[in-house]
Amino acid sequence: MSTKVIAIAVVAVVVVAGAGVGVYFLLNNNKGGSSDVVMPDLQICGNANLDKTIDNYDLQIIMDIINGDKSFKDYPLADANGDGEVNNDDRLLVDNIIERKEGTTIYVYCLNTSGDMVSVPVSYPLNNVIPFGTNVVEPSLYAGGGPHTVAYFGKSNYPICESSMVDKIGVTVLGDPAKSAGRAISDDAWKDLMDLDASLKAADKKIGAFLLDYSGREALTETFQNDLKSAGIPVLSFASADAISEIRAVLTLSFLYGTTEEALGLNYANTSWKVLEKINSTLSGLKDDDKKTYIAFTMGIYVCQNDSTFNTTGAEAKGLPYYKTNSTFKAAYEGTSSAKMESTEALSNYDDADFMFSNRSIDYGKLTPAAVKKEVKGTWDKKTGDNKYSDFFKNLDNYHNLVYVNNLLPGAVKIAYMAYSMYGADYVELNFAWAESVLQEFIDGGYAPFSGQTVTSTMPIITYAMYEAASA
Amino acid sequence: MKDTAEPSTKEDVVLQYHRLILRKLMLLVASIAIIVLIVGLFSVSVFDSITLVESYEVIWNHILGNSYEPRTTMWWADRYIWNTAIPRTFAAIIAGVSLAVCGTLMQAVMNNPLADPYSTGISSGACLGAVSAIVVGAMFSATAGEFSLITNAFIGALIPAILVIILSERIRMTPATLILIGTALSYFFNSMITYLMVTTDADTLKSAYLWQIGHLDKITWDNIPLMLIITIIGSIFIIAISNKLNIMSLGERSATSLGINVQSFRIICLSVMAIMTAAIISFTGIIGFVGLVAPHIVRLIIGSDNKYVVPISMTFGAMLLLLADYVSSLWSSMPVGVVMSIIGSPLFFALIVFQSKKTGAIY
Repeated sequence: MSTKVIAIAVVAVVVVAGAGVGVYFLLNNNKGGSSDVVMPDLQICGNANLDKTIDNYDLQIIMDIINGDKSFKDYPLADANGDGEVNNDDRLLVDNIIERKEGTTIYVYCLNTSGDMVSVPVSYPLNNVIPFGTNVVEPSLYAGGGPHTVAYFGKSNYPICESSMVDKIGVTVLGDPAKSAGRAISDDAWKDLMDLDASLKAADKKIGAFLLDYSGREALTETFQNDLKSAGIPVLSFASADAISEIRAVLTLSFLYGTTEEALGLNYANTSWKVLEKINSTLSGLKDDDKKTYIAFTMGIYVCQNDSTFNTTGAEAKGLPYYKTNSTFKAAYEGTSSAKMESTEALSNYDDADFMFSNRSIDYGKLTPAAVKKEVKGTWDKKTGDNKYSDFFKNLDNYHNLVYVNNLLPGAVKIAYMAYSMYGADYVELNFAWAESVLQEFIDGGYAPFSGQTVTSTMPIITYAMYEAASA
Repeated sequence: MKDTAEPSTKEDVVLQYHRLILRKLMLLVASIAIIVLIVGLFSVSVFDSITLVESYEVIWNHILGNSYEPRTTMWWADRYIWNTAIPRTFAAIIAGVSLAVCGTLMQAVMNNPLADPYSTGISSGACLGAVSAIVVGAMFSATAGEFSLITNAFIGALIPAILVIILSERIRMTPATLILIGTALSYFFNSMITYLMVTTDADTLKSAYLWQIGHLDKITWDNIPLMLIITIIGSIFIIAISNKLNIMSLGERSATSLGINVQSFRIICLSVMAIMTAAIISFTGIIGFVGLVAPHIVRLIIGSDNKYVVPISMTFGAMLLLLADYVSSLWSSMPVGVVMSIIGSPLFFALIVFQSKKTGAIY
């Protein structure tokens, strides 16, 4: 009898345990996935020819599709209203977009939090945006978005670069204004967003869009996403940690902000593509075996994983990601995010990489040599726990090729400085003067973050040589 | 159980009986009233743009299916309270009910006032499962994804219970033996937990340690169904056997002579308790003190009849944990397990020290 009871009890325990696990699998299916799609320069539905603007060329393609002269399959973005068809509604919408008619609902072609490309409707011109994540705040500000920002999260760590937003009269700080938001959205910050939306509603206004840095998408939990969806607040997500995607993000956001900002964004994109063309043409004959290898880092001691958007910028500068040459490294750093170095010996087996690029956000405004020196030493020897950043690199053979790249800079500038670092010694076209000229062109371009700045005050890179000079 | 001075007349007996009933009723009603009050206070604390009365209005309207105009303050209050405050309060209530009734069950079955839901090593097993998931990434099921931590903790919690059940076939299981086995298992699991934690980095160590302390702030609606279903089923079972628990408290021989297969009954009760506790702590971490203290405080007030102690412990345990969680929410860095101990131990101490003939004994 007791054996029977015991057997029943054991079976019951196991069955319930299994059922419990099963319930969770059923109730909590995780969906995810991404698809490879053709990316337009201007990420607006209706941009049928995928170029930098929406104009009569796009309208002509839509007309041709309607008339049967062209196939919708060849021009997926001809579907201006995201309904899966190309018809007269799309023609009328693109007409309104071409006229830049206020109040037009424009469908933005961007990511959702699962990594799929979707069409998100916003009202033109876009106003009252709330950006979250450094990698979307800066592109928004380069696109002229400062005056269009109604709120931002936490204390700004880069008040000079972000002054067009931070100093805007009437802007709301969500969450604790004395603390930086970090990589998470606090409940208090979300509560402030709700209060803000309710007050805008009372004034017959609304939040135009929530701008999300795709690399920080985990901060926008399912609950928050449902809140935004229910409130009719669109989420525009850009993978703008990647330099090319950053150019597209600036172009798209500037288009949405209005005609003045659109001109700024076009200039930004043209200048950026000029830089890329220069690098491509100079290094066109470079084979993989001749390329410089690099490992990318972020937040000081986090190794960017193989498919991280931070890892692609070096490739755009014609470098070769180190994981493509070392299978052990590739296996160790699989993923799309970043992995913290567990010890100061973490890279000891990988010091044959030619370069190490550490993406670090450094505020502008270092207007004196003393300020520059302080920043150089402060970055190189920044404390993390019991160690300094330099402790993780100083024993490596390639220590002298560690380069900190200012993550706040336009993507093309970062690419230029990386290209200079890797190939400047061998190709005079990509020398230091050229990289500086790229930055100067952006500084002269009238973008709000660069207001009052110089090539030095923006701290584009910090190299070992600069650190040695600052330490002398 | 000594309750009051010996009644001298029939009227005295009736009066004393009515007083006992009233005491039970008052404790039950007070617990429920405090639960309702704290739910409102919690709602207001997370959404301070509305008043306490409006918070009840929001909750009541939500239950009735009434909605507000989108994007107004009340509409946001409705969403935020139902997505943030209510799952958390609901989880506190469910966890409090489950842990308190499991504590009552353990104390009756083991005939030991110091028994609680974790006496058989369940908490250590759950901790090992969770810490393994956090530190080593050792998953029982690779497909569990983001719920691997919960799955690990759940299955880890059941391992000690299964071991106890298997051992019960080999050795004579007295209450003392069960407690000793639980203690031995706890030591073993704790040593493995300690090893894992000393070999990891500071960030992971912090995550692992915080899990162990107990938390309710990360609970979402997705986590509620399993906790609720198992708690309801287990509670119904325990209420149904509450008379037998009274018989068990007479001692093993008396219980056997009154027709209870003590060994089997004990094993079944342990199994039910293990599943209920595992279902809670796999989500909340180890919240101590509720299972130990709530039944004792209830017995001190209403006596030791498990027919009443079981259901009233459930409400009292829910109220106690909900109160602790509300207090912890006011101090954002204070885990609920810590607050539970801060609130519960002086209260328990006071009740022990100041117990009089008019109240029940601890045991």
